[in-house]
Amino acid sequence: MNPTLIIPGEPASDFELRDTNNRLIKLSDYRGKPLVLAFLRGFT
Amino acid sequence: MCDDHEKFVRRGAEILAVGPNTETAFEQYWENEKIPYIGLPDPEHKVARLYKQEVKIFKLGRMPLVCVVDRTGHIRYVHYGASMSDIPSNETLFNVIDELNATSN
Repeated sequence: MNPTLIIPGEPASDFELRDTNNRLIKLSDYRGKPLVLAFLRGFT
Repeated sequence: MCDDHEKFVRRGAEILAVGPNTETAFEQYWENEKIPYIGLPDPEHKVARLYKQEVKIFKLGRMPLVCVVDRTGHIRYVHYGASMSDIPSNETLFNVIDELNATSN
């Protein structure tokens, strides 16, 4: 695996983005539950 | 993930989907497709870069990336797709989540 990619065991970097309802979503708000983080390739 | 969303919910898991489309495109897509989990437009690719989502010009763009984060905020599973269709099965993700739930992480 490319050594620059993230690997299991690392702390997940926190971020914030607005969702489709304009709510501010922070990764750290989901502490306490398992979280699936899916990066899409985009849709047309 | 849409079809099996309830199975993720039953496991206490949340899904965040980050994509490169604009806010408007995301809103329309989410509404049209009735996607039940959270969609996060990232048109400037800030979070995609943070998580090192790969871009392959000859494969026409961004490669899929899926992570599972545990309750303590640590990454427990990562899959960098080698092609557009190379994404982990929901069963694979359920197994990871079930393991986390079994160990309370």
